[in-house]
Amino acid sequence: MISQEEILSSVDHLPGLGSSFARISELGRDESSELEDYARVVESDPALAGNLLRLANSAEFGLARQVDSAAQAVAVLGTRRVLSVALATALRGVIPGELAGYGIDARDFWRHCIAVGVLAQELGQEAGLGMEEECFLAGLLHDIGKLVTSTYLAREAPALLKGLRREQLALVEAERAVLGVDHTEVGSAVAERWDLPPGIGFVARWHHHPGSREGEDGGDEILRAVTEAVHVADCLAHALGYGTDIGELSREIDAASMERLGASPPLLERIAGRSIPEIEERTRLLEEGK
Amino acid sequence: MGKETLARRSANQVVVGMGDLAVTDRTGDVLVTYALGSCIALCLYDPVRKAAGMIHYMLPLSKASPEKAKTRPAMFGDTGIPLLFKKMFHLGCRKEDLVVKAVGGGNIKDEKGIFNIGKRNITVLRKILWKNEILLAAEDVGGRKSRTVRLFVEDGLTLVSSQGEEVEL
Repeated sequence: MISQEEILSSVDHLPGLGSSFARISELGRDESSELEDYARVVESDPALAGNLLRLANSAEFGLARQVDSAAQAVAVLGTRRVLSVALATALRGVIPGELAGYGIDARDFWRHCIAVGVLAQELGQEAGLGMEEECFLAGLLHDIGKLVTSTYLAREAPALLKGLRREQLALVEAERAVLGVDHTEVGSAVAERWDLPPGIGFVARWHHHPGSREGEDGGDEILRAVTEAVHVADCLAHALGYGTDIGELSREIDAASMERLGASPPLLERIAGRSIPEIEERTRLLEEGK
Repeated sequence: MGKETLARRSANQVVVGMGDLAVTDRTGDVLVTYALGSCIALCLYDPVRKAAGMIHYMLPLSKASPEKAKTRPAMFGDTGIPLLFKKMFHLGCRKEDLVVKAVGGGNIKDEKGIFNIGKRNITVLRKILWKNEILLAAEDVGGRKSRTVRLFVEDGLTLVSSQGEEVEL
């Protein structure tokens, strides 16, 4: 049997997120940074430049004039949005062609990440959290632990499936039965390794159990609300068929989270209704620049 | 798979995307839709006319987003299901010949019944069929699983696969 330590220590072997994201995070912290500094980073990264230009020229911004330079794109999108796109681009770059342990390919996994990001953003907006970009990013990155656990689960597929089908375990329980850890614990280790903002690791850790004791003790109220939004968004994305992997619908919705977010079934359907085209559009816009 | 012949394996796949529908009367076609989750695939087959139709709708009612319903009616049960029947009638099918099957509508664990998109998707389907006096010939709905469906125009064979197993519906 694989040891828990072995899996957690393998997080160190995960590829890094690349220098563009690190440099843009740094610029965000540096008050003297200027638009040209951002533009320089963007120009040196074709995938990032492509994503920013596509986004700046998309219907969302509805500009009359074509945006065709990195500097213009940064000016149109704003530095927070640029950071968010830089992180998304970096993440897309490290997703392997297939997450064999979960029986899902990179495209569908990516679509799931985007779907949870968009749905969490919409849920956060409805609940008046005022943390829309944070909700999107936390949703986008909620499953980063799977990038590591997938490799180990691939070797244990029959045991995992037995747990899910015969014993009707939730995905995280089945993972723990097989590996000793689940993708949420590994996810918070990945967030640390990538030096992501602390909230991202917290959400990755608690998105399956937003109401658990440790979850309530470990974060402030806003972080807990973001975690709840991502939890409900994750369930909704799976229900809608976005990124249906081996875990499928093997999960439980947290009733208290639904209540605190004020998320009734009609509200969820309204959010889903208006988000579906947005999910498809963002998946298209945030493809790796090829 | 006993029903898997060479002709079937080489059938021309027509993928029905999420929130979309398709009809066909080309004998070599197979309609397929993936990852149903809580969504529903309604499969229509006309053995007389040798035609098949399938919708993969995601949400029960178009009032969730009336604007989207105008451009993407197949996203919703109440706008998509009648449209699917209409398209089959355009192919020359008659209501009384249609064999109707439903697949999907799965749900996550939800003891308080607060997150019931799958159930609501099934309910809207039953209401519409009931009002129009149409019977379901077979169904594989509900449960905590996602499904993939294939419908062969050649003979109406309907195969449902989920979690690595495939069964005939």
